[in-house]
Amino acid sequence: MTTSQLLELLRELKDKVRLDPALDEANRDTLMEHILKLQNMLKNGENGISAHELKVESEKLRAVERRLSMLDKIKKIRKNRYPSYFDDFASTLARPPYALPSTLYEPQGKDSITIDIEGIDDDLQRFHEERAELALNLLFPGSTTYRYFGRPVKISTDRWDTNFQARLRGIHNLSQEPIFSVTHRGHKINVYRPQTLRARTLHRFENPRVCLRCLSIIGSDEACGHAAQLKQPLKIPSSNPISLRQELGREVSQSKSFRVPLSSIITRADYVSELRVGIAVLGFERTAPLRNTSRTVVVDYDPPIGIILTTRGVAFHIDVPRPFVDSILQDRPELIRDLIIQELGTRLDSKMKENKIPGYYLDPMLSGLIVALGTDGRDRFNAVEWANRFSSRNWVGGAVEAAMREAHYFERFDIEPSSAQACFESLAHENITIDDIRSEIKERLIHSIAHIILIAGCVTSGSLFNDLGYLVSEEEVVLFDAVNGGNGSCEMIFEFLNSPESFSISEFTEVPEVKVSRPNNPKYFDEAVAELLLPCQQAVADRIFHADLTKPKYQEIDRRVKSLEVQKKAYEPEFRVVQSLPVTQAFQASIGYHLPIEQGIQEANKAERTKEAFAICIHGCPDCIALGSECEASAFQEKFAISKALLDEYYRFATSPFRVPITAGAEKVQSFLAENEMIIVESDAQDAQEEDRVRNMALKLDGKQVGKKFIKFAGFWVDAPLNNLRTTYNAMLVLI
Amino acid sequence: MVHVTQDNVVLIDVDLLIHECLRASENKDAFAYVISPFLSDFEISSSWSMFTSNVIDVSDIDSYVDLIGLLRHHGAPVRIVTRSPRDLAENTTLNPSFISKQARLLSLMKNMGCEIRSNSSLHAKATITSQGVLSGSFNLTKSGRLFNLEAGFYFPNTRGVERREYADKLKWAKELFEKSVPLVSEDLIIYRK
Repeated sequence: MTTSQLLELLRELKDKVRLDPALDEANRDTLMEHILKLQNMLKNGENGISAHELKVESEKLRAVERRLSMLDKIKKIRKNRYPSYFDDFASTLARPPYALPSTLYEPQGKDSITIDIEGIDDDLQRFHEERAELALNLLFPGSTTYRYFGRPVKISTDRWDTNFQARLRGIHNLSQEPIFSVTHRGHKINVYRPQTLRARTLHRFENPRVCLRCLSIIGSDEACGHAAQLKQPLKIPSSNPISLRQELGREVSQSKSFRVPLSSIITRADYVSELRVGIAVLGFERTAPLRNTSRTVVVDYDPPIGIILTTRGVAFHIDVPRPFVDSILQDRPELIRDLIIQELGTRLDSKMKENKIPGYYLDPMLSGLIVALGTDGRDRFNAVEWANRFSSRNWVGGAVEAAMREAHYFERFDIEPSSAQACFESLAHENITIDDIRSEIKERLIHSIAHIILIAGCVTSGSLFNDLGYLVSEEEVVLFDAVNGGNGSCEMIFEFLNSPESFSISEFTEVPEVKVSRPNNPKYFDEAVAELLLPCQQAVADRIFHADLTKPKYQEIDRRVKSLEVQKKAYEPEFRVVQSLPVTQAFQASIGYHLPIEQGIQEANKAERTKEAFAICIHGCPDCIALGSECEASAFQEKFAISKALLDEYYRFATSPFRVPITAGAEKVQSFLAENEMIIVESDAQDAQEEDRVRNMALKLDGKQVGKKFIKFAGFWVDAPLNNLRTTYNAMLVLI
Repeated sequence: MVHVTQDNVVLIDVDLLIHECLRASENKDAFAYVISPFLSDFEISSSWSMFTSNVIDVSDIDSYVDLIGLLRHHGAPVRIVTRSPRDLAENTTLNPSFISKQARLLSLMKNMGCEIRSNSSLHAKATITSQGVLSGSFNLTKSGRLFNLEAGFYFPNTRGVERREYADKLKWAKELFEKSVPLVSEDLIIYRK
């Protein structure tokens, strides 16, 4: 009920009280007093009844509910032949943090949030206690859940369509004081703890009407002012929270190092026995599939809500050396160009919000910017020249024009040129210097390593992505258990950090009579990381196919290349466009429609297909490091936050002291191993026998004794580096 | 050529089979001959089975038979010459529980699609793949691979003398396999004397 509806109800009640002849004077006065008090509270409060009074009343209501449910239980138990009172009573009497879990496996955290579902039938439970971290992950304002009663229940936000901001304070019960603050888009924002989140059922709406423009769910607490014909019955769109995590304090207990080659990338791992993490939910993103594409909207919360987790974690120290950053700046202009586009994407998104341009227009806006700033790959990219051009600010008009040209491919395109101009002008006043680009290289790299650490952590500990979280800072990635008190995942990761270095006979026991699989044979963390650092199979297959490189015959890569060959039959004209450009152009070409415009493609469908054809793995894909909604930057922003291409470069840089070309010969390899314990033999010659030569080198040395250790064949992979597009073969030999 | 002892025999064995899996995953000619009068499964240290690759997955390998299974998974033929459990039960004084284990192992490998033949005169031990030959005193058993003092040689199929030695050994293995008797179900039943 809105405030005005409540006031109307109270007015009607007042009239009835006045006119009811059966009421005596004393009762009439008491009732009128209560009605007036409620009216004044509604009128005087900024958004209604004060949070404190609401809290008190809802607490009393909960206590009454508990007593009523206890009485129900007594009635049922009395009918049992062997009544037991403990299980049922404990759950009705105990309050957090002493609430009993309903199963042995339900994790027990000490922090909870109440979900208050309004408008339900009397026989259904209205109030539900949920673990705080679960509530913020699944039951955030704007989300829809089937967790209760088997019907869709939507957590309230009220209208947000005017400025894509949901004002939460009037709807939900939040803490009076902030619990911590975060820095977001350059501003410091206070975060408040939700105590009660209000929700409503959507049970009357099988497929509710959804606005195709802003994705508001019509008929619930949301509404919008867009045209009626835009509101169509659709499956309820999916929503994900946009979270920001911040470390608030830690206590380290142990440290471990890695062996080569990982020690060049992660210098140290610390076990954090107590870690305090502030988790702020800044808003949500909602996605719905539309006719030819999908639409995502981003809604911010005012204020953001959050909790403080006390948990455990592992901190991984990463030291990105300056020579690496310098080498990228000097020798990899195409990577720098893409990094700048990624950074512009993030900044532009922020400017669009300030200028009230919906987030789903980021693609055409960024596309216009790419064209105006000359980052479309036509010329060899020069970071210094580009930075100067950006500072000159005389690209703004060109960017507006280029962005407006993209309207041709949209059914409805309602960015006003003046809003786009304001957006670009605001962006133009920001500087992007060479030092900023250096920082971006480090930031992109560390965030990419964070994804690898998260995936490897899940593999090692057998966790799901929502069991673990991560924090990224300038020189560190902190992996933590995503539940209050911890869930044992990080402890297990730290325990199984490094695989055993050497073998010894004494570690074996009798082989059992019947072979029993050993599910507890761990995948050590360092093994998992080492595999994830290798080139992405899909990226290698994409480059081999599109750049027509020598094809290795490995089944997995061969399968992927064949799959592209099949797709080519349906996408022939589009693949021709892709193959007319260097593979390094794919990322910038996949943004917006500037390339179809350049190619003279008029039809929207064809332009969309051309854009899709450029979706090659350059900076990350679901086969390698892309995590979608599990990324801290959110699914929408993830493509601007990570770079597998940069990570591959870093891996080559970090392992360069251990790399030897095949031409060095077996003796040199053996003597190198004696000093370094690990070697990567590589070859990029393009004849068909080259991969056999690499493996033959490894074969010859296999099992040979070097000092007290033996040479082992420890790895083999195929690569197609972006800076030198040839198929390369790499064999790793180690001493064990 | 590499001198082989109990310290490095399993390492070479595992790597030979991994190399073979790589070839099989490229649809290249790949195979394995496993020649040993006695067979039992043994655990593989995680150090030996660790393999970092973006072309094949060598993980979850706990034992030698898991590695044979991986090779079969990649479609490479595995040909085994051994002594049949019935032959061992009737003509030797070996412990019946050892013979039973061998019978169970052979049954498992038969189900994996390995081609198994028996030869009652067999004493030689070798593992031969398209990549090299590992030959010596070591049975394909836990003792032979891990505990006993053993000696042998490993010739990679590369070039020169090694390639010639390899070719000779491969020819020998093929001939041995051809003249040995295919294992049938009755051979896996152990008759007590």
